[in-house]
Amino acid sequence: MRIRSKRRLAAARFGLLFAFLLLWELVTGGFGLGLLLFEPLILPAPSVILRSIVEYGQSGLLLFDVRATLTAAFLGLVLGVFGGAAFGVMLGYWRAGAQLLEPAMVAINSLPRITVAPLLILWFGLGMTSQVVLSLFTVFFVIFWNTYLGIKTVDPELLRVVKVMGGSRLEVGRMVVLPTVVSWIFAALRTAVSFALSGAVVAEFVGSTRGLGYRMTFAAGLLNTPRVFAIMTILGVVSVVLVRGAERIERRALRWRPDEQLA
Amino acid sequence: MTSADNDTSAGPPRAAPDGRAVVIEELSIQFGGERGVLATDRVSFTAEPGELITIIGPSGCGKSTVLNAVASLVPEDSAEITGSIRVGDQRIDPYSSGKTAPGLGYVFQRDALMPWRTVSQNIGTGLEIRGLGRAEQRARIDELLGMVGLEAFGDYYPHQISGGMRQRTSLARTLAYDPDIILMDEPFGALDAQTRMSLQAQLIRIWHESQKTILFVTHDLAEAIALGTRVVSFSRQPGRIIQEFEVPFAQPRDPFALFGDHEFAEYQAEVWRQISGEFRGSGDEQEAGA
Repeated sequence: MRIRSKRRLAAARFGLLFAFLLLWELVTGGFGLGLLLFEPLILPAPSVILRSIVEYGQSGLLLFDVRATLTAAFLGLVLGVFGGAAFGVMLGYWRAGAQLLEPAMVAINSLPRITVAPLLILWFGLGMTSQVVLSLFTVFFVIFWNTYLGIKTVDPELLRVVKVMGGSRLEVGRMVVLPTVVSWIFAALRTAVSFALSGAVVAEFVGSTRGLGYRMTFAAGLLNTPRVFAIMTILGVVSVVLVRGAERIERRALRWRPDEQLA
Repeated sequence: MTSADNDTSAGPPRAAPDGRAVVIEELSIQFGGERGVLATDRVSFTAEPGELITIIGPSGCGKSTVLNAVASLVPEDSAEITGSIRVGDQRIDPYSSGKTAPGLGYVFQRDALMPWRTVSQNIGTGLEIRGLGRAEQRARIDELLGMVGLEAFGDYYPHQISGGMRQRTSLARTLAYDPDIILMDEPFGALDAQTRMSLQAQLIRIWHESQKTILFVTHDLAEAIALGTRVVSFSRQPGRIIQEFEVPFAQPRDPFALFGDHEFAEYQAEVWRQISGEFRGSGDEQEAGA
């Protein structure tokens, strides 16, 4: 059976989540029933987590940390997108360079990206810079590959069309190459956004003095499990909002594509 | 090209320039060096100003390559070209390093529309390159949409319309910047029979009204005869010209009527007897040329 109505589906999903939270609350000593299947240190009740979120918010730290994390993620995203696109275009056109560098790019790319985090802390210290750089680094490769491979998909027939009409190289670039490349970049935007966020957070784990990632490791160190869950929840919400936003931008920008091409 | 020729095109609805002549002399195109493939072998023919000439031949006979040479689209590192091409009094550089002659249009086999541009924006591509103002572009695009019957589809993207509509958009895009010479490389090849016929009819009408010079490549004999005032017939690869003939039906023709016409069928059968050897693949060229 399939659920056809959109509203129904949303209601059913919400109901399921609610039931799950109720059950969770029940087995973690909620509703005054004293049913305690898990230690609060291992799994705190949803109500406790919620209280922790509220406290976090009231202390003013929540806003401060969210801003720190998002600033790093945003800077990393922007720099990574432009850097990756520029480098992708460069290697897309410079054959010898591509031949020389492709193995290196593959090697660096296959390295789990977050493993460079400790190195970045050594290089750039505990501040914002390390976070931005890690975020940039993760985004860079996603965008680089999409641009680099995207350039190879430029339709030679379209180049001929513009040439025959007397278009200059600049016009060929503007009318054919740029739209092709941009469409590949937009297609990677969703991934890039979530990479940017995780890059920033991981850098905060490893060494920072603020941000959601920093606050989370700090809380874990103090065995403040509710705070850890609270921050995970907040990160989840932030991430969903950002990825949805990216999706929307992608859909708008790539309106001209047949639907099945939208992954 | 002389002033006397201008008289024949008197009275078209739109003041269009007469097409220049395209003169091809002893054109040989060799791909892939000494031991490579000879695509065309000393091909010579002339498309007179304002003429609709069709070029027919089996696939791989180099007929498309000739068009590419006229449009300066042959990659310089892949081919050796001898002979000459002139458009009007301009000598053409056949290699893609050269600039395409101004006033030349090319309708490709695939519609080659930019998928990120709407129908209107695609039609306006050449106008944009020519630096026309927004209002002028708009007016010209609207005129073209009307000419090819796509008034209601200006804001559609190519993937949202049918193959026939895409090819009409492609034709309109070429007509938009008003080239006096149009090269067409099997533009209707991928379309179903009805759509094809209606596009052929539109092409004849547009050509007749504008008196452009059109070089139309096809491998379909019926199409070649229905459209062309003159037909140039190529041999199998390496392409040589085996026949050149005037088609005895008066222009402007109506393909819908023509394809049901007894005389047309007879004429087509007669021509086919003469050139079919080249299409058979094993054929005997003496017979085909007789």
